[in-house]
Amino acid sequence: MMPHSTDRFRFIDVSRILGIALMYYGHTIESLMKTGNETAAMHYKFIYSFHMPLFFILSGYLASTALDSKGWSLFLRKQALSRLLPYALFTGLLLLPTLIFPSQSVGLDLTTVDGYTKGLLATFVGGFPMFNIPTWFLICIFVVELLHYGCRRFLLTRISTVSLCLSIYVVGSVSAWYATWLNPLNMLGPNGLILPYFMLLEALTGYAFYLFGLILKDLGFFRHFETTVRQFGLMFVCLFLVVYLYDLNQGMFTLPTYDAVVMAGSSHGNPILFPITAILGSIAVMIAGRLLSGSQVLQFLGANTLVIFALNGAFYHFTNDPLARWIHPYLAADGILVFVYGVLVSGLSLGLTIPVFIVCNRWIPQLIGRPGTEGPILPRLVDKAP
Amino acid sequence: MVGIAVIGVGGLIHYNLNTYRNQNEPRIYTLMPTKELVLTIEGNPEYTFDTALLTFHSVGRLLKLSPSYFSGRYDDWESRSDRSDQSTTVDYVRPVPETLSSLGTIRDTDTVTLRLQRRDKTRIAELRHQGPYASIPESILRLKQFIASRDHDIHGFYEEVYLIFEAMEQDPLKFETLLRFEVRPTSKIAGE
Repeated sequence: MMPHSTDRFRFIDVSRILGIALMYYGHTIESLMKTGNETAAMHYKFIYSFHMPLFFILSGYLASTALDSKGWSLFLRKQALSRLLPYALFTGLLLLPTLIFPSQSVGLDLTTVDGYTKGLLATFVGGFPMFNIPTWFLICIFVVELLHYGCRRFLLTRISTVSLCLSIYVVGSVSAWYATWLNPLNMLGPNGLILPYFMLLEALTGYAFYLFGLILKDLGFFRHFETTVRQFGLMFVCLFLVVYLYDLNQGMFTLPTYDAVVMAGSSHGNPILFPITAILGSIAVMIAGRLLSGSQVLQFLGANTLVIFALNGAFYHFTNDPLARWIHPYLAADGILVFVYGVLVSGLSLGLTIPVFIVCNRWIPQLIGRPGTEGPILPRLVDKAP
Repeated sequence: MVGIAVIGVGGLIHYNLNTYRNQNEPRIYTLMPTKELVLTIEGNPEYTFDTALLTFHSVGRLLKLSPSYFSGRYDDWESRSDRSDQSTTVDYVRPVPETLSSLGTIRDTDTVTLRLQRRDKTRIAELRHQGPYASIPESILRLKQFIASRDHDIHGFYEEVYLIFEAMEQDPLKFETLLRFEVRPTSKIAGE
């Protein structure tokens, strides 16, 4: 049930669920932003300045540099079953309601067969989940893990890890700006050809953050902040710096209507400010994760993040936009009201996922990222959980 | 498994070939709502285009806006096509993020009026025109025939989105311009 439930890494699970709560909040607020609410736009920019890099850093924190003796094909099978299978499941799941309810699927006209053809091809051949946008991360982390599998034989020393982290970040940033032909959002346009993008462009930047997580663990960074006072101190310093810095990142986004970091579209803005805010924000969340690591509720939720993460698409595509349009006339661009609305809606959405992941855990654990688990319907799909 | 793969690859090739073949064909679709920076300039569009380009560049630097395409929006096609009119009023438009709440200290000039506005969801008919501006009327005729054939009517603005233009490319044959009409279904008009 809890893949990383040892004391040492309990805070990672809690940090993950905190990151996911931020993602739910960000997507709720995004819909409000699209109605023209400027305060929501600032909240969105703040959250997006660090919440997705956090997930890459957390994954890297748990990564290994030891060489895998089991070979490439077994590794590929395990990763495909624990990342691509849930991707296919949750994308397919959210495709069904589009047959009845209108979905806010960007770039798809779901009143035509062509729209569905494009959506299915983009999802399964292009590697960009048109029916469940938030799950792009699953594809991206899959590619990042493959990159890591290939590169880890070179990560023999701390210097080599830091060098690779910096180099790949530079390559990722330059590519995000210039190699726009690699951007999966090209598929969304009316003339967009479907090509196997598979988030390769963003996987470069994602891998840089992943390696940063590995470096954090290697340095034993959090050992220096064991006392509660130090932890609170570091968290507030990081948060203060993020608040101070996030809006300085302007004018270099590749999506002109989103003045914010959107990793799904490889739009990072300033290549120096982006990693600084991303790292500071991520450290703040990880410290919060350490402070709250004793919470049973957060541990329970944190052990089921994949399902909670993937189910966000249901709210992102179906309920957030209509709800935001409905509330917009009653909600002034007041920071507190926007915050309360965001917290209420995202909290309720998150709560609604609980019965779903309980059922999934009980009946089909193999399909939700635990292929090594024996279940009542399906046998284990690999010998041991990856 | 092999069957699914064959269907997938076949569907992919068919879709991409179709999309490639039809990239210069007109289409009707809906633009999502967005916030826009609008420059209203009166004069001969031959010259106001350059004024708009320079103004967007300067304003973009001052407001730290990310790079974007821009367009010229007219009340209708007739006001665009009459090149003898030296005092055509054009709205030059570029999208801006929602976080941009004001123009700060930027003020109107004698010839340029600036404002921020929200464009609602808009149904448009669009055609990609490749070549010099002089041959736009032929493309417009094609677009109008397409609109009529799809039971839609022109209802609103005419817009040109400049994708490749003189500041980027010297050869007019390589210019790329999206031509757009705001449209609505004929049935909607009949119902009113």
